[in-house]
Amino acid sequence: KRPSSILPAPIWCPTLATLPCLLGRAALTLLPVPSTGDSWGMLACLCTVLWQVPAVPALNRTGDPGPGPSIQKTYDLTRYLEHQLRSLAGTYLNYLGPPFNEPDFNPPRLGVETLPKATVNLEVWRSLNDKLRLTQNYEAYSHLLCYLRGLNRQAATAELRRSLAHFCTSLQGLLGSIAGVMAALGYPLPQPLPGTEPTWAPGPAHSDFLQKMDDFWLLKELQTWLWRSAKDFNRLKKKMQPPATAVTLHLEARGF
Amino acid sequence: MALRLVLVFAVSLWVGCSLCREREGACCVPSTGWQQASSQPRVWCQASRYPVAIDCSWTLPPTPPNSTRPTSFIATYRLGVAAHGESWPCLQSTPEATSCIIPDIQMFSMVPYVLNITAVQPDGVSSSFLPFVPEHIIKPDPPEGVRLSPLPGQQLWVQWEPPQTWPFPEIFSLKYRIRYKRHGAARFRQVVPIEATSFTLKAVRPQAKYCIQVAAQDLTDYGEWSAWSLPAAASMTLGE
Repeated sequence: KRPSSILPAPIWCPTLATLPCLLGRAALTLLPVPSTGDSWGMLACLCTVLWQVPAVPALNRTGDPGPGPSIQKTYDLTRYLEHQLRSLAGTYLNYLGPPFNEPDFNPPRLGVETLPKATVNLEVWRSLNDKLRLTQNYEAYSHLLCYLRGLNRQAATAELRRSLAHFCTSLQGLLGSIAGVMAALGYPLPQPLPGTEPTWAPGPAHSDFLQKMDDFWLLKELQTWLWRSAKDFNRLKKKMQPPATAVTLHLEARGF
Repeated sequence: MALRLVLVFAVSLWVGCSLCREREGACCVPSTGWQQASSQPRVWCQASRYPVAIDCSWTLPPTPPNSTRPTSFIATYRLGVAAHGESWPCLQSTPEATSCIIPDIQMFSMVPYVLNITAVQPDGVSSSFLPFVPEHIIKPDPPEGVRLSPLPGQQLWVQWEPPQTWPFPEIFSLKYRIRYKRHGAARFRQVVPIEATSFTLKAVRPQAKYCIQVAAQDLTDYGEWSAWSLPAAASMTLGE
């Protein structure tokens, strides 16, 4: 059972990604998304604000903890989002209907080339420097959030819109968390070049089936990015750990 | 139009292979113009060395005594289920080998690998297809070197190493769970997963004998848990 709301609603989340998103032929500029009263969403939104704030002296006790805690929080957020996505994907794929909700359905990945791909081979992934690793994550989730909001605008049922809105808010929290890590490490946030904004224009001949295929692959790509981000932030966490300290992390079985 | 044909093929292949499961399968695909041989390979794959390689093996059902046995296998794989696209060899030591290796895994992709094992026999050929996503078939080998050391205050210090076959434990971290049983107890007790490679068992009984095993899984829950390690045993003597 989710905890009751602890804040007066609604509150406005800061806009972190201001990329215009072209869907169909209409240009939609990302606007601040109001929280819908969902407590976990509000907490994720608060995270985006808090991690943007410079270190407060009262919190700086016996030395600068460095970016480690915010990397850990980002890692935890990716795991939370992975859990949340499983629930959302189940609901959405059932809405799309068969064959999209069949576990063995493996369509070709066609027509969604503008979706950011998480896939990478070991040598390339291992050789990414911290700035590039973080930048790729930030850019990917900026694009994916843009497309997800387009999905939300077209969702046919109130339950779907609620699930998508909740996930979008959490994803925005993840973006804020990544931005906080980049700021802590002194890296600038990527700015889109003119003309390179994410575009996902299905075209006038896009059938209902192919539109559903696009939605299917959006959810799959979200999952693979969350897989990758967990590995990315675990790697960053290891790099930031002080070498002389024996760190033991206890993970509780979360039943995900 | 070409896109529609590809999609129709993909859906047809999905329908035809709906009995296939990841890691282990024997999808039925008729041979191309040759007489279908009497047996089809049963194939399974596992990523115990993620992300360096995927190891696949297969067997053929037992054949009647007077029938001919397969002389060689052709093992290839492709990315995705579409008919077009490049296929690569799954590396075998010899054509008669019943195992192969897929190197250089593409991580973080939902486009499945599709392994094709074709058994070439004198009386015909038979093929099996196995689709899988590498992250779904991760299963590390059991942890190694489990050893126990009594500590003062009725404690037992358990240490182990990650499996040698896991190529990068420092960047693809594992987590571990421990189960232990006092000699004579009915059931094992289990410790919640931890990332460290040691653990202190507290409040152990003096004069008791303990048996302890450790299992490993990818830290981010890819795939499944390894089998339990070989058991390590220790006796708590009085005063330790």
